[in-house]
Amino acid sequence: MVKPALRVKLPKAAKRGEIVEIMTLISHPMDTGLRKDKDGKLIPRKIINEFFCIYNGDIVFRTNMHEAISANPLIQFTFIAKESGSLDLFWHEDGGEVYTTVRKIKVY
Amino acid sequence: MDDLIINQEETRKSITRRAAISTMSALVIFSIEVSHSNIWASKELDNTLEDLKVKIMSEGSDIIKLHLPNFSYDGSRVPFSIEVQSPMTENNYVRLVHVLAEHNPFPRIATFHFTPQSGKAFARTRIRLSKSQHVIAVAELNDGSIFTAKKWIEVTLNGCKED
Repeated sequence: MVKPALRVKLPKAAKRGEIVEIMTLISHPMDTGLRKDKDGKLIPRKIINEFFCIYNGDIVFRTNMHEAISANPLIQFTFIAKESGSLDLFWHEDGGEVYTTVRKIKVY
Repeated sequence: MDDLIINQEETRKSITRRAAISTMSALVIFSIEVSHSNIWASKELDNTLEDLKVKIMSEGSDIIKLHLPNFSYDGSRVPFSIEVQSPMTENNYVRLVHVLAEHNPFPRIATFHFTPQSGKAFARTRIRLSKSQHVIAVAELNDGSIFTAKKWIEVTLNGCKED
């Protein structure tokens, strides 16, 4: 399978104490297990079932996702900018695969 | 003159009859609307609510804001966002929000877990809906209190089976 593309929209810098909005996108078909292929066979379920955001070692936001999330799941959320550091983002797929990316943010 | 009086009486009668019929029909419609949610709620939703140990309150809560379009042609990607009004401090914050769809084959859509570092209890994503139905949000605060809200959405195309 092709490695999914990960996209993150995040401001490079933020004021201390500001609420920062972050948008994440992963290219993934999110097969529900209800769809059939050309031969009439059911395509087995394969979705991104969990998403984490860790900011300087603390979990800021977490979500459990189910079949009813669209293909190419987009997740937008907020966090408080406290100090400069890194944001680790994790997507967990059915079957144990984990896709991860790191983004830096400057706080002044 | 006599004829006129009789006519007037007749019209009066018919008016009262009409009024009676209209009030009756209004009552019938009202009673349907009241019991609407009970008729339409699905078994899958009841089971999930039992699993989550949550009861949907009849009155929606003002602190939850569900942002959904009123109708959508394509059920496979419906923009959706939720915001719960909360100070989001260590002592008072929204712990999690469950999002459910009444008539989807799998009613659970997503669960968002927030922390005081989130700043706002806000999340946005895109969801799949199988048909016209209520989308339900259940918010749980850190002290264990539960708030619910729901919104009706019209969906034309099934988003669960088609691409």
